[in-house]
Amino acid sequence: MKTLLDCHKACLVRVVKLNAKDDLKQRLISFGIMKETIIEVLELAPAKSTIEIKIGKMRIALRAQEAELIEVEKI
Amino acid sequence: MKDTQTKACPIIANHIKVALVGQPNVGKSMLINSVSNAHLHVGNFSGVTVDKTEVLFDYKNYHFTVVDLPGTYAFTEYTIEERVTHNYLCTQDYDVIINVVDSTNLEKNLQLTSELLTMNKKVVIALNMSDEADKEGIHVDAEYMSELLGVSCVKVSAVTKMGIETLIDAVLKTYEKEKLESKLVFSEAVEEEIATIVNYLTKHKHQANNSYRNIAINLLKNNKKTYARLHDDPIWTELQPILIEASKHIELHHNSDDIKEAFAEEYSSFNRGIVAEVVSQKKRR
Repeated sequence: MKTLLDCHKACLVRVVKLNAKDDLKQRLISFGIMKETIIEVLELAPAKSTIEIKIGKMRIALRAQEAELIEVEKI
Repeated sequence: MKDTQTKACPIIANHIKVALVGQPNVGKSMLINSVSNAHLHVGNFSGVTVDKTEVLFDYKNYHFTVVDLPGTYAFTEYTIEERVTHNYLCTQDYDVIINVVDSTNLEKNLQLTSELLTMNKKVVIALNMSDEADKEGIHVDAEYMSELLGVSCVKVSAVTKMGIETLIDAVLKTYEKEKLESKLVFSEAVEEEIATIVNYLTKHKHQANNSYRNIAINLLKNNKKTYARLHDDPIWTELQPILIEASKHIELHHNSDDIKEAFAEEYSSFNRGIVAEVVSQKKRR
């Protein structure tokens, strides 16, 4: 199982599953993060505490705890 | 604003209350400023408006009250601002929703739009930042979009004040006309279950303000308020097993155990379809 947190910079991935619960899951969905979404990893903070991703035209910064809940596959 | 004489005219009855809804940083407050010469606080970042503000102005023989609501990504209550918007839309009395969307990022913005369309309200879509979209070579076919969604879509730009009058005219027209059923369509599996529930409600002549179709969608989406309303109805005992079956079917179809997620995917694929139909991107020179 690979999560968004395992990705390197400039990685292009597709979301397989959201393991987040309730509110957080809804929040991720409202940002357009759901199954089949294509995510590009733009930048990683030192020690991977924060990760910057791009979905369509939108850039989002996620905490490590949140990124960890997004299962992805490489494309 | 017109002078005080207009206010003294006996046209108090022609009062339209408009709620301005959209995702954060799409220019809702800016749009009000352009419409009414008000001076709401705006900024080029999201989350400037944190509470609702009312602005009044007159246009043709109508009094308008426009309520500027904080931006919300989806119909959830994750943040306080989103709760303000959600509460207002569900409990307050208003005539028309203006859904402001960012033309340069239509697909993401339509996510909220599709949720608004399942409410029993008249909606007008303001395709804001049209000037910005033109610059980026993005063309949105507003006419075709109106046809596809079943609600009027008007291209506007709060900055250049383009299309503002057309927008207000569209609001007037929408206000005067009967509400049209939105043309939101889902995948076959979901449509099938909606039809089952609609049939059931029709058979029992259920009394409601919202259309049966929207009730069915809201029930399937686990909308708490719709549940609460139907829960006290005697038909509930029969409706419940139907709903459980329906949810199972949809979840199976989406290979997910979360019906909300399944619906988000449904909306998203509908929106992708709309965007593919109405948006064309020219290569930049």
